[in-house]
Amino acid sequence: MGAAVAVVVVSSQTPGAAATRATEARVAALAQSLRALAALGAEAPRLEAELATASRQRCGSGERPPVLPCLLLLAQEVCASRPAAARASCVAAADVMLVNLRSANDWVDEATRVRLVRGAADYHRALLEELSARYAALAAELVLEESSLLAELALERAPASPLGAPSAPARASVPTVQPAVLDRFCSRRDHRIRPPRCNAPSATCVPSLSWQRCVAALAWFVTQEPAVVVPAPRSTSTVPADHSPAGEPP
Amino acid sequence: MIGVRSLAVAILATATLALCVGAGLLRWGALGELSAVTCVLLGAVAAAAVGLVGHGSLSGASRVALDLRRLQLVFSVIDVRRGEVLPALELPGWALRGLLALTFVTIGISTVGNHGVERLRTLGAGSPPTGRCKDPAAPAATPEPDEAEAPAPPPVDQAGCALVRRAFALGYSKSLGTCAPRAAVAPKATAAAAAPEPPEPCERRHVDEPFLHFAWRRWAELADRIASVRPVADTSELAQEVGAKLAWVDALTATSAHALGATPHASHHLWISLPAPRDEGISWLQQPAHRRCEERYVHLPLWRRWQPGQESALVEHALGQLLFAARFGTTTACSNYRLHWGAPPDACERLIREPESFLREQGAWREVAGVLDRRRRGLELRALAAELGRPLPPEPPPASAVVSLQCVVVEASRAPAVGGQVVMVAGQRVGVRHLVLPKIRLTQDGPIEVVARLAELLAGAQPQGASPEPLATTGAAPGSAPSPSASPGATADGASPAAPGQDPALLDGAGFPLARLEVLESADPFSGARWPLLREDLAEIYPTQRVLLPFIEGFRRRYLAQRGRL
Repeated sequence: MGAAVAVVVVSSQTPGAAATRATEARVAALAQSLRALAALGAEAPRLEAELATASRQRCGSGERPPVLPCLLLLAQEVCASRPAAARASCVAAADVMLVNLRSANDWVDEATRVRLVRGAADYHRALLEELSARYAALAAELVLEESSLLAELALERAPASPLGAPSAPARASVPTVQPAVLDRFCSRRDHRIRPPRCNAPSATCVPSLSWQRCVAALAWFVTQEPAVVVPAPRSTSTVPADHSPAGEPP
Repeated sequence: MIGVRSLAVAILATATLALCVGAGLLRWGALGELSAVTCVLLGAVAAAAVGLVGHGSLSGASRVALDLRRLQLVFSVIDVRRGEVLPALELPGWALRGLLALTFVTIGISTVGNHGVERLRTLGAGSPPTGRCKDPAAPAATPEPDEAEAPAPPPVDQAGCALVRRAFALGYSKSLGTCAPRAAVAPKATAAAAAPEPPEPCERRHVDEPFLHFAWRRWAELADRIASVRPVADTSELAQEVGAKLAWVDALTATSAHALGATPHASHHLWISLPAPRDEGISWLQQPAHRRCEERYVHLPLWRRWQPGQESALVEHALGQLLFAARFGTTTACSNYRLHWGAPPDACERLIREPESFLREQGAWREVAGVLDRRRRGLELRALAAELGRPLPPEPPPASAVVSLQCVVVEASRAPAVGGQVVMVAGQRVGVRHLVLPKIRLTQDGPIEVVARLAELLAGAQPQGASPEPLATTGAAPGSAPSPSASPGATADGASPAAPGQDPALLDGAGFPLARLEVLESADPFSGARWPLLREDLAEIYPTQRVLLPFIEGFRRRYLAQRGRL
C-alpha cells in the first residue's frame, strides 16, 4: 500500500504530470473567461472601453504598452465597483481585455495607427474595428485547424478524464469554441514559421503571438462577433456538466 | 631581247616613282603616317586599276622587242636554223602586276593621301539625304479619309429577327420593334491628321538618294569602322598583355582550376568532443554531398523537449537555429560548414599549437587550403589587373572571414571558458575560437544556455545588453589557464535571479491568469531572466520564437558581418 502511494506521489510529481496540471489549469481559466465574456454580452465593450480609458490615463499610453502591475491594479478597482455576484465574471472578462490592451500595438502597425488617429473621431473605437479584422484572420486559422486539433485531443484523453471529451454538449449563450482547442492551437501556433511582426498595413497579416495574446484575441473575437460560428464537432461521449468545456449544441 | 611590254611597265613604274619623289610628292616618312582608311582605299583602287589595265594584256610575249645589242626595236626574231620565232624576254606576270600596282599606289599616295581621303569621306556630308526610307512629303501618298464625302454605311440588321422582318413584310406586324435595323457607326478617321510620325532610322537607300551617293555613303560608314582599328598599336598592347599574363600564369591557371574544381568559397569547421548525434555515427552535415543540407532546415522544429543522451542533438539543433534556420532571417550557406564530432579532448590546444598538422589529420586540410589558395589567387589577380591598368576586381575578404576554426569541448572536470587566437594556416591568418563547457543540460534553461554559448563562440560576446553571466574569456589555450567559476546563469539547481523590472511574483498573484503571463513578454533569458524556463507549468506556452528571434537576429548581424565568401 505504501509503495502504491509512493508510486502515485512520484508519478504526480514527474514533469509530465506537472505539464498536464498546467494544461488543465489553463483550460479552466480559458473556459471561465469565455463564459464571463459571453455572459457580459453588450456590457463587455463598455467594460473594455472603461478599462482602456483608465489605462490611458493612469498606466501610460502611446508606443509602449501599459504597465502590467498598473493594469492589474486598475482592473481590480474596476471590478471591485461591480456587484459582488458579478465580480468574478468581471475579473475573468477583464483578464482577456487587459491582454488585448497590451497587445494592440503588436497587432496594428504604426502606419495604420497614425491613419486612425488622423482620420477617426473615436480612435479607440476605430482601433477596435481594426483589431477585429485582424482577429478574424487568426480565427480563420483556428477554423482551419480545429478539426485536426479536436481529433488529436480526442485521441489523447480517456472518456473518464476530468476535462471530458472535446466534443461536449453545449449550453445556450456560450461561446462557439472550446477552450482546450484554443489552448492547443495557441500553444503550437508559433511552431510554424510566422512573421515576427507586421510591418505593412495588412488585415491578413497575423504576426507571431505569445500564448496569452493568441487566446485573448480569439476569446474576444468569438464572443463579440456573433456572426462568426465555429462549427462544433459531434458529441462522442457523456461529460459531467460542471467540467464540460464550452461548445455549441450540435 | 626584252619585250616592249615589260620594258614599258618597268619604265613607267620607275619614272612615276622618280617623278613623285623628285617633286616632293612622296616622302618615305609619310608612308608610316598613312591611315588605315587610306591604305584600304589606295589598295582597292590600285587593285581595280591593275585588273582593268592588265586584263588580257599581261599574258604571252610581246610582238615587239628591244634588241639590246643594236638598241633597235624588232618585230620578231626568227631562228633560221630551227625555223621558229624566238620569243622576247618578258617579266613574269606577277612582276608586271606588282609594278603596275606600285605605279598606281605611288600616284594615289602622291595625289590623294590622308587629307584627300578624309575629304572624300565627307564629300556628301553637305547634302545629306532626307534619312527616310519612305517619302511622306507627297500629300497624295497617304490619302486621308474625308468624312463629308464618305457614303453612309448601310444599316445593320439585328440577328434572330428574320421571322419578325418576314411578318412585317407580309403585313402581319405594324412595326419591327426591337428588330428594326440600327444605323451602323461610321468608322472614325484615324489620327492621320495628327502630328507626323518621326522618321524611322533607315539603313537602306533613302528615297531621294542617288545610287552613287548611297554607295559612297556605305563606303564612308565602312571607313569609319576601319578607322577605329589600330592594328599596330593593338598588337603592341596585346603583346604587352600577354607578356604580363605570362608572369602570372600560375595564378590564372589556379583560378580556373578552382572554378572548375568547385573549390568552396568558404570553409568553417567546428570540432565537438561529443559523439555524433546519429546512430550511423556521422552527422547530417557529413552526409553525402548529394543531399542538400538546406533541406534539413526547411522543417527544423522551433523547439523541442530533449531526452537524456541527446546532448549532441541539442548542440546540432542550436547550431541550426543560429546559422541555418530560415525563420530567423538571412542564413549562411550550410554547405560551407563541417561539424567534426567525437573530437579529441585536446582538439582546441592542437588547433592552436599545430593547426596544419591537425587539419590534415582530421581530413579538413584540403578544403581549408583550397579556400585559402583561392583567396591568395584572387589577390594575385588584383595585382595583375593593376599591372594591366584595368579596373580592379573586388578585394577578397580577409582569410579569417572565409576560414574559421572552432572547437567545443564538453568535460566535467574543466571550467567553462571561451576565447580565441589567431594562427597561421598556409601563410594566412586564421582565427581559432574555443568553448569549454562542463556539462550540457537538457532541461529548463539548459537549451537556451547552449544557444547563448554557441553564439558567443561563433560571433564573440554581445556588445550591448550582454549576458550578465559571460564565461571567462581568455586568449590562451583553453586547457592552460583554468577559468573562474561557472556561469551564474546556469547553476546546477536552476535558480536564477530575475533581471531587474521583471518580477516573477506577478505571475503567481490572485486572478487575471492570462494578463499575468504578460510578464513573460519582457523576460529575456539571454539577458538574464532565466526563471520562466525553470517552471514546468510554463514550458508549453513559453514564447520561444519571440524570445529567440531578436537574439538570433542580433547574432546573425554580428556573425555575418565577420564572415564572407570568395
